[in-house]
Amino acid sequence: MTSQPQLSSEQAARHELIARLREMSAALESGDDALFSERLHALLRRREESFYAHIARITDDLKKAFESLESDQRWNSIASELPDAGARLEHVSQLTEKAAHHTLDLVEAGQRELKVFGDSLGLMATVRARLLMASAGSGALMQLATEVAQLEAQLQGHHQSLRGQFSALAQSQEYQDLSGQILRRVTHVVREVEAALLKLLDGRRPAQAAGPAADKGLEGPTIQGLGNSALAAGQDDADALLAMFSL
Amino acid sequence: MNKNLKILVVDDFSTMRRIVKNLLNELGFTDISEADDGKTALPMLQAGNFEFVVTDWNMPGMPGIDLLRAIRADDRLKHLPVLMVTAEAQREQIIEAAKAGVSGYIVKPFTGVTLKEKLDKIFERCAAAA
Repeated sequence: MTSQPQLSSEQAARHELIARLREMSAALESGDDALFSERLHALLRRREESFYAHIARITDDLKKAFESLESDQRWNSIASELPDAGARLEHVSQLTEKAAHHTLDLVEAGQRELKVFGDSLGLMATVRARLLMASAGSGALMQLATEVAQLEAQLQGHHQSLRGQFSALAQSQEYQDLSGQILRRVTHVVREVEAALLKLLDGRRPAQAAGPAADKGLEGPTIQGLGNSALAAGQDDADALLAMFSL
Repeated sequence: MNKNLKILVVDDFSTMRRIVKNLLNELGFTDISEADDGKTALPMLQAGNFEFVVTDWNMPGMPGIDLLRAIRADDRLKHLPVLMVTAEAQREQIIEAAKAGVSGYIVKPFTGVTLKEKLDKIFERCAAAA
């Protein structure tokens, strides 16, 4: 006795569908509209039942996923750590701002000293001129005036160099503005995530209303490799764009 | 270049205001005031005799682009040169600023040389227009 090959449930369903369609086709050809209509409705009912069964399965899975999320203490832990993360970022921002101001205080104090130094160099030039006038006929005094002039030129050079270095030192504090803007942006994101997570977990804190920034994305320094940075421009690109407007 | 020019520096970061002020001082400008956003700056401009504005873009309250538009919309202020010094470096933003009537645009981070170069260019254009 040869055994029939076992059909999969999918194959069996296909065979059954073909049989029903043949039956419907025969009913249609023989003019048995009642049978055709009854078989058609039966087919559609089966299809609906299968659809609702699928939806019920998805809903059940979703419910289980939410239950597991709520019972997972890690989410609660993350939600409780986020305010701390935000506060730390703000603290870093305040620290860098304080450090930058301290550096700028020192730079400005140095620049004031340098101004006194520059004024003294001006006085030195006056003294040298007087020495030169008083040296008439005295080779030794003229030699001394020449040496003072050389020294004065050297000091002028150092004065200029120090001015440039103080200026560069002040400008290097620009990092605080740029890093501060980035930290502000990240802090904002952390706060948003915190609010959303808390709402999801227990609804204790409402999510912040979406403002204009949420609509078009936060503004802030352009960072290569992040966001829309393919469109980022450097100073040369900015100049070229402005030239198009005759600026 | 008139070194007695009355300048307003607008930036929400106090460190950046100090840096720009320091650089302007090094270039010989001494009459410099500060504002921390457009909302503070606008009444100062309307009340004072400022002759030049250096502004950031991204500021709470009123951003630099809105300040620029407000300046250009005010009959008494519309001729003020406005130099934008900002980290906003998207092409669209630069074009938006140009269309709004910006006089110069500096992308942060920048150098004192760039600042001098842009100021010279703006003053040359102002002199040619006068």
